Amino acid sequence: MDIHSLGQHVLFGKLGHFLIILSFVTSLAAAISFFLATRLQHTIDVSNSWISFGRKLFILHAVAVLGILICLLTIIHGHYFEYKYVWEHTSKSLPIYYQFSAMWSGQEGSTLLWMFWHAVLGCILIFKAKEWEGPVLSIVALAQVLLGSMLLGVYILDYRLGSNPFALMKDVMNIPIYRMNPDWVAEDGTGLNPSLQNYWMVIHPPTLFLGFAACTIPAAFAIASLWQRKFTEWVKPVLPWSLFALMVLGTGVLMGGAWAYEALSFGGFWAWDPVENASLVPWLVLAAGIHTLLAYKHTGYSLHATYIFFIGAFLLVLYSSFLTKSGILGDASVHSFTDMGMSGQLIVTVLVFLIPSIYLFADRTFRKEIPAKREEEQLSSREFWLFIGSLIFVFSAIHIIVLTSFPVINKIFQSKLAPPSDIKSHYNNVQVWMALLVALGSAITQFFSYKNSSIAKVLRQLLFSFVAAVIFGGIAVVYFKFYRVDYILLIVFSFFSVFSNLQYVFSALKGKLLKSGGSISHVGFAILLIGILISQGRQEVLSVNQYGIDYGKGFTSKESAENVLLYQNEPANMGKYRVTYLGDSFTIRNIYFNVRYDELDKKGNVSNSFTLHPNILLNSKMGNNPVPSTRKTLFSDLYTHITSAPLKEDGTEADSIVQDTYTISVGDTISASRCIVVLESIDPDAPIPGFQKKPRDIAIGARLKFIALDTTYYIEPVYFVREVVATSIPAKAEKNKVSFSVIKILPEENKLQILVEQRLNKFIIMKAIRFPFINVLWLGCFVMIFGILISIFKRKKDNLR
Amino acid sequence: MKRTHIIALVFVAVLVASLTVMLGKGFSRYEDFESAYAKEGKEFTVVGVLNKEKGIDYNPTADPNKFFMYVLDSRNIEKKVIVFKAKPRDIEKSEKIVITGKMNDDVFEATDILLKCPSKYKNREQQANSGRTV
Repeated sequence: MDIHSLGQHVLFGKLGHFLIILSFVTSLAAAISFFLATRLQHTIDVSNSWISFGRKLFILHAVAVLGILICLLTIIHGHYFEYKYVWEHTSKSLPIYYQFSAMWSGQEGSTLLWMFWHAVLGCILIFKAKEWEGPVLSIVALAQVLLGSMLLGVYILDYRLGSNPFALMKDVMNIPIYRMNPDWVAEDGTGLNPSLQNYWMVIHPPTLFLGFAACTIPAAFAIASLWQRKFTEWVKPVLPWSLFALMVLGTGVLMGGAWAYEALSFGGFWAWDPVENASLVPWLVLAAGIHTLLAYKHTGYSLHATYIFFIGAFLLVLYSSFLTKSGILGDASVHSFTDMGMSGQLIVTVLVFLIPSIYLFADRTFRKEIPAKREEEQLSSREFWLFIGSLIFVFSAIHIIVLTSFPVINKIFQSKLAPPSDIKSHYNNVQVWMALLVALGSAITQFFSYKNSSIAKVLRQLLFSFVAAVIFGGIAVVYFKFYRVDYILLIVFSFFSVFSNLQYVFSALKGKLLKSGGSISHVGFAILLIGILISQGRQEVLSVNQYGIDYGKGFTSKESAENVLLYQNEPANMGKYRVTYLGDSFTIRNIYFNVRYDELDKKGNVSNSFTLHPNILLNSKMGNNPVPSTRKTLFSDLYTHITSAPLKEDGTEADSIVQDTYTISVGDTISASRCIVVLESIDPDAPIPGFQKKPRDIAIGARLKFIALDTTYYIEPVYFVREVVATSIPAKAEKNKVSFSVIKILPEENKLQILVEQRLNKFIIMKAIRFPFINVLWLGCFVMIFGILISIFKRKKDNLR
Repeated sequence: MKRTHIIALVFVAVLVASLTVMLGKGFSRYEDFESAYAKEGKEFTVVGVLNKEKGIDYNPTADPNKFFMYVLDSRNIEKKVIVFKAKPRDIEKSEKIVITGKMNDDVFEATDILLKCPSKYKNREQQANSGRTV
C-alpha cells in the first residue's frame, strides 16, 4: 500500500479546503472592515486604519481564491480520482486544455471562477476607486462572502452549507466497496460530458463569469451612492465600469451563441433556452441603465430609473444563477441541471442584496433625497428618447424573464403553466417588435440635443439616412421576400440606424474615433439585427424529406421532416446540391461521416464540390454526441449535422439486414424499401436455376414484377421439392441488395409466403441547413463590442481629466 | 403625472394585459393524458416516463422523421405517442420525457420532445466499479 502517495494527494485537498475557509473568513472580515471604514468616515484616522486593514484582508482573500484555483487544477491535472470532483468531471484521456473546462464544468468550479473575477476586480478597485473604496468594496466583499459560503461544505446543525470541491469520494459517496476496502480509489473518472469538450467551453465560461462579476460593480456603486447619499459623484466613476460589464457580458452571451451555432446540435445561433435567456436578461437591463445614466449625467433626469436598472441587472445575475443552479428548470431546459441542495443558499444570496437595496432606494425616495427634476422632459429632448429606449430594453427583458421563470411561478403558486409549445416563434414574434423599436430609437435619439432641440432640424438631418434606409431595406425585403410588417420594419429601421449613426459620426462628431464609441456600437447592434433577421429568418432547411409522406392534419411537412436518410454512395438532391454519403472514418474518440456536396448549375453540371465531416463524439458513459460540420463561405454557411446513424455497441457502424415475411396471392403488391414488387402469376412448373430438373420434381415459381426507381424487370424465386426435401431458391435484385424467397405454399388459399431480405447499405440520417449572410451577424457582434470598447476608453480618459 | 410616468404605466399595462391574454389561451399547460384527452385537439405538455419494455418503433429507412413510443404519465396512464421528429439519441436511457402536442383519437401526437437523462451526479455508485487500491 502506497500510503505516502495517498497522503500527498490528500494534502492538496486539505490545503484547498483550508484556503476556502481562509477566503471565506477574510472576505467576511474585509466586508466588515470596509463597512466600518465607511460608517466611521467622520473620524479620518479610524476610517483610514479600517480601510488599510480591509485592503490587506481583501488582498489576502484574493490570494486565497487564487490558491483554491491552483489546488483544484492540481488535483484535476494529477488525475487524483480520490476526489469526487475530479472523478465526476474528468478522465485520464482528457486533453490538457479541457482540464480547464472540467474545472468550471461543475457548480463549485463555476462559483470559484466567479469569485476569482470578483477578487481581481476588487483588487483593481482598491487602487482605483478612491473615495468609493470603502462602500463599494464592502459590497463586493459581501458578494464574496455569499459566494464563498457555497464552497464551504461544512455542516451547521443539520444544514450543509455549500459544497466543497475538495470532498473525497469516500466521504461523500456511499459505495459498498469502502466498507471492505477504505483505501479504494477509482481507476478512471467518468469523464467530461462530450458536449462540453469544445474549445468554446475553454473560453466562454471565463468570459461570461467575468461579465457576471463585472455586473456587480455598477450595482455596488449604485448601492454605495444611495447609502452614502452621494447622488451625483458616482456617475463618472461608474460609467467605465458599467460599459466594461456591458462589453464583457455581451461578449460572453454572444460567445454562447457562437458555441451553440458551431458545435451543438441546436441547429442555430440562439434557441431561447432558459440558460441563454438568463444571461441575456441582465445584459438588456444593464444596457438600459447605461442609457438612463447618460441622460442623468447631462440633464438630471432618470436617476431613479438608473438605480433600479443597475441594481436590477446585478440581482438578475444572481437570480439567473439561482435558476441554473437550483435544478428548478428541470422540465424546461435541455441543459442538465441538478439540485445540489443549495437552493436555500441561492435564494438567501438574492435576498441579502435585494432587501437592503429596496430599503435604501425606498428610504431615499420617500425622503425625496434622490435628485429629480420637477418639470417634464421635452418631447424633443434626447433624455426623453433615451428613457423610452431604455424602457423598451427593460420591457424586452421582463418578457423573457417572466417566461423563463414559469417553473418558479409553478413552484410558488402550484400552477401548471408550461411554455408555449413553439417557444422559439413565440419569442421571435414578440421580441422582433422590441428589436425594431430599439433600432428606430438608436437611429434618431442622437440627433436630438439634450434638453431641447428643433424637431424640424432633427427631421431634416435624418431625412437622408431614412431615404437610404428605405432603399436598402426595400431591396433586402424584396430579395429575401420578407413580406411581413414586423420584418419589413425591422430591416428598414436597422438600416436606418446604421446610416444615421454613421452620419452622426461624420457630421456631428467630425469623424473623431474616440467620441464615436456609442454610435459605433449602435451601428454594430443594427448590423447584428440585420444579420439575425436574414440568417435566422431566411435559413433554409435543405434536408427536407423527399419521401412525400403525409403526416396528417395539423402537421406541415416543413416543421416535421427536417431529417433525411442517406445511403452510402447513393446521392440525393438537396436544394442546389447533390449530396452523397461517402463513408466513415474513425479516430479513437470520434467517428467521422464524410458527406460530399456537389453544387449543380442550371444544366445539372457539377460546378463546385466540397466534403463536410460531421462527426459523433463517442462516449460510452454519457452517450454519444454529434458534432456538426459547417461549410463557411463569405455569403452563407452550410451546416450539416448527423441526427443519427446506426451504431453498434462499440461505436462502429452497424450493417443491417431487414427481413419481412408477406403472405400474398396473385396481383398483390409488396412495398419494400425503394422498390415495389407485384406477384404477377404463380408458375406451377418453373425452371429450377442451378438444378437439372427431374420428372418427379415439384417446382413452383413466383413471377414477380420488380419496380424500382428507374427500372422494371421480372424475377422468379422458386420453391422446389425433390423427394421429401424442400428447397427455396431465392431470386436477387438490385445488385444482390434485396432477395426474395418463397418459403411456404398455401394451396387452399392459393397464396404464397414470401420472405424479403434487404441488405441495407450503411446510412446516416442528417440535417442540412443553409444560413445566408450569417457573417453579417458576426460582423455586427464585432462592431458592437468594438464600439463599447471605445466608449470605455473615452470615459476613462474623461475621468482622468 | 409626468409624460414618462404615463408611458411607463402604459408599458406595464400592455405587459400585464398581454401576459394575461397569453396565459388565457396561447400557452400550453402541464397536464396528464386524461386531462389532455378531455380537451382533445388542444396543445398540452405532458411529463411522463418511457415504457421501456414496449420499446420504441423507429424505422428510419421508411421515414426518418417519425417514431412511436409508449409513455406513462404522472398518474401511470399509458398512451401511445407518435413523435414527428427523428428519434433522439439516448431516449432509451431517459428517466423523464417532456412532450408537447395534442391528443388525436387515442394517440398523443407530439411536435416537441425534451428528454431528461439520468444526471451525471446520480447512479454514480453503479458506475464506480473499476478501481485500484492505494
